[in-house]
Amino acid sequence: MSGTEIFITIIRVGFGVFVPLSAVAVMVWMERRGAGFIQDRAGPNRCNVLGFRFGGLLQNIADAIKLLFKEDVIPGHIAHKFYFILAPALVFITALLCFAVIPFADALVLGASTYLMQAMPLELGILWFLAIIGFGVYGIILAGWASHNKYGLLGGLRAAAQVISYEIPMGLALVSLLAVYGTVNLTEVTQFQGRLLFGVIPMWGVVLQPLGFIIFVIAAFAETNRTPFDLAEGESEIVAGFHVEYSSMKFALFFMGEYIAMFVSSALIVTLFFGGYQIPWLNTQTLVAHARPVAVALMLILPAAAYVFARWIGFNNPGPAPNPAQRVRETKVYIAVVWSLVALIEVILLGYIVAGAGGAADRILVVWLQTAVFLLKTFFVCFVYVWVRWTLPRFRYDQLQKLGWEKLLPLALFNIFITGAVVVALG
Amino acid sequence: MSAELVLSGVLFFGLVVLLPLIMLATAFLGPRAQSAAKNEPYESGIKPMVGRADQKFSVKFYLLAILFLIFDIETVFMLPWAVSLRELGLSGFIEMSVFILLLFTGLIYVLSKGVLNWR
Amino acid sequence: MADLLALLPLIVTTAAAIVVMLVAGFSLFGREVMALLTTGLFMFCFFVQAATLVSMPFFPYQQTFGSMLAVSPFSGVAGLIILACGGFSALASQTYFGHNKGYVPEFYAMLLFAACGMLLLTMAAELITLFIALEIMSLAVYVLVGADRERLLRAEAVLKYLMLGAFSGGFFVMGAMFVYGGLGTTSFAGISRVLAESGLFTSPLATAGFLLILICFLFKIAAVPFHAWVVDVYDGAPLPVTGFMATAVKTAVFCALVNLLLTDGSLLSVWRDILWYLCVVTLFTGNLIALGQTNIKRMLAASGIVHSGYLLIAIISADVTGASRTVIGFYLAAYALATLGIFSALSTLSGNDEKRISFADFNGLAKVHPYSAAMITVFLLSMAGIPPTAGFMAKFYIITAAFSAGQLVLGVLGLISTILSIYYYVRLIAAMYFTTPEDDFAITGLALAPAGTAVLAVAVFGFSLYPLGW
Repeated sequence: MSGTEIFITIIRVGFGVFVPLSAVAVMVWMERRGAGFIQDRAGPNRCNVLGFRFGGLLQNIADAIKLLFKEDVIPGHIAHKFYFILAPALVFITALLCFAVIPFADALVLGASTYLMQAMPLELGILWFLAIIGFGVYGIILAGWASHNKYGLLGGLRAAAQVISYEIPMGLALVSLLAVYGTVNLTEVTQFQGRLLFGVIPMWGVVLQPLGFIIFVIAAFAETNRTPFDLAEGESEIVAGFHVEYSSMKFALFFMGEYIAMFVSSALIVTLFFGGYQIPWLNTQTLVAHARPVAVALMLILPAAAYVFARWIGFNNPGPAPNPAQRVRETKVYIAVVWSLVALIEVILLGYIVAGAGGAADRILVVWLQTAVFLLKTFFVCFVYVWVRWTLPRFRYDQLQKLGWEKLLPLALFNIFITGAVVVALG
Repeated sequence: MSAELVLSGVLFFGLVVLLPLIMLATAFLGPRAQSAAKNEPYESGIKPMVGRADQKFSVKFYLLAILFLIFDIETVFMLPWAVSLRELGLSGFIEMSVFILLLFTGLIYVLSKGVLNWR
Repeated sequence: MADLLALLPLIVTTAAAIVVMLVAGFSLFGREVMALLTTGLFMFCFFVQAATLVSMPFFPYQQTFGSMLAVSPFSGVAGLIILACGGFSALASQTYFGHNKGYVPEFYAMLLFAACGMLLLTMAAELITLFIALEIMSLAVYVLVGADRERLLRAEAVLKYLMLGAFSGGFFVMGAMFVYGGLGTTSFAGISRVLAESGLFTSPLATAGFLLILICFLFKIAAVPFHAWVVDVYDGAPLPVTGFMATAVKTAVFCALVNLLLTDGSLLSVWRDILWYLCVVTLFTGNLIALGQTNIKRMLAASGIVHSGYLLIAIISADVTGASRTVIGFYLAAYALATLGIFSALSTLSGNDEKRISFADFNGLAKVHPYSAAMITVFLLSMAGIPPTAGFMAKFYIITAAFSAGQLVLGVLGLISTILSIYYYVRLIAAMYFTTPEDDFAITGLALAPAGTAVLAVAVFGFSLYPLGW
């Protein structure tokens, strides 16, 4: 193994593990600010270090530290301590493992070798995801059972029944999608979506499979136990569901597992339906061929975006509480940081244009660009999760099962039938 | 199995499996205080009075599990079919249509028997 | 296309089963209409099967679906017997459920599904297909036996049958795996070819595999070391189901066994000695069990073991030509006629909750219902093998075949067993005719089962006249 290979492998694994983990913090923040926005209130805005609040992001750090230093209670009535401790780890691990096959950039060609840009260079793609996500339910049902608590057991049962029920529409939606793509490898799936339909519309999954998209998104919401399908932890009915007996870091693992699962399913939705890392009308070959103009365009777009962002901060961040002068000072620092970051990137891009353009540097630039696009799309879908959560009320349990079995399943079968007919007819 | 795959597998699995061990840290970092209330099932501060966690639960969950098995196996059959649909052509499509139709009839029967009427 | 044409009876039966299942699911029709509908569907399937059988010389049905299924005149005839059994069982069940609890509309769907499995079983030309068919059939029959969960007797029967049946199915799969490991093929033709080249005992794996497969078959036909379940299960099942199991299941499994053994006879030549001993033990153990019974259902179950013994005689003395299959087919048909007849008569006469079921309960039946008694007598005589019934001709053909194949001892033992069996059949006849009635034998319900019984009674005589080509 050459040094490059080891380096790229480490980078990939690091991305695969730490991006979902960091995304948890961003998403919790997004959830809180989103809730505040939708409910017309401020959200977390007091927690600070030396007056710097980072828009509420510090609240998450504070929460994490709090959970880490809480008492680790294992109640005396729990008979199976091993399973009790295993359950949160299982939920966390399965959620994170799912991310291993999702490509965050097109395959990187350096010299003679090709590197798949996913945490593990597996070609199993969607099959890996289906296999691992099935394990997720073990953690939940184990938590519910090992808690030895009525609410915990009910929550675990509900979650298990819900997850297995919605796994079927999800799997069937995937079947019709695979019939279109003709492969299970997610990198190939995304490359397929780089093409154009009738020469105009990007061949994204959502264009080719609108019905499959709706089914898949609904099933993905249910699989991640998110509102409107959060019956497994319906606070008003069963306290907290399967994690009612958990505290401190064990609870945090459930919490993080849930958000990671949300991030991963957003990433999967993006990969399957929204072209993954593809920029519409600019597929990898085009980007690599025109790397220099792209870099110039970036150099122009970045300051513009930074200007809008700085104006936005300058307009929104100053406020009365707790100390108006402090908040004005905070705003100034933020704007300075944004502009210095932009300056740094501009210098790097300039250096690239002057010195490194052509060859490997082009491809690496494209990888960075695509990764950024992928994360942007993924966080947008994450925001949709948040949006839905604070908009829709919770289902009743029988309504949930009826939606899954009576509506989504026949629809998915119908979709497969239509898709199959079209695919066979077109050759 | 390339060396690349082995290295990423070991690294990835190692990290993913080791990360949850953070939770063991709380055992050292956190305070420790026992009390009688901490040692009974948490029911929002009320003493557990009705029912137990190890009692029977509704048979509906088992029915769902069986339904899941049937249709999940169907999905498993359909995945390779879907990937190679272009090579299988019309005959493959018709065969799978018959299969879908049969299972769909089963679903209609199950629904007609009221498996999903949670009352 | 020939593939699908050969499979037409099976497809029609499956479609009928699905239709009945949906009708049952939505409770569209009442009990009477369901019975008539199912009988009609069975008749339709019967005619389709008959048409396939007649058209057989004109189509190349021999090897369909890549040699996984083989359609032969023998499998066609077995299919006819099975579908007829289904039809008569549906008729009998209509009357039976008129005065018995435990009716579920799915009963009829299960009857049709069981028939599907059986039809597939008769056509199977490969071990895995055979296993799938066996399981389709068995699962439906388990449900038929145990659908009435209220009664403990049913629960006991279905538990015994399900557990042991599942085990025998497991043995079969295990055996098929070993055979595939040992011989590298699962098709009957391939197995025979490999065996003819090398002989069985060159491969210990295949030897073990065949032993396991043999165990499964012996379980399903209730031959002796694996007969223990049969009496309790037949006793526990509802009467029409008992009749269906005794006839259709036996027909299907024997058809599969014959297909496996007589493909070109090399497997039979290996198994002949084992089967010889098993057959003798089956004959006499069955008789011994039947002699001690006071309950008609249990007696008939035990006599079913004996009839399996006679069929084993036919298999042992078979040669590769079609003649031995004709003999087996004839015996199966004759046995099915008599058994179905007696079970449909019992469905009528047994009364509420099968209250009349022992020999003593039928004391003096002839004085109250002379025609019913006469028909039961006809069926019992046919099972015992008294001329001029079909049962006599069937046994005559089998014993003759044994003698002509040189199996003198086996033929003589078969004759002795027949003479023994007359005792318990005639006991019931004696009870019906030579005692005074204690019961009023009130019969309720629509008279579909008696009609079926009458048809079968005539058929028992009519079928004995069927000329078997000599």
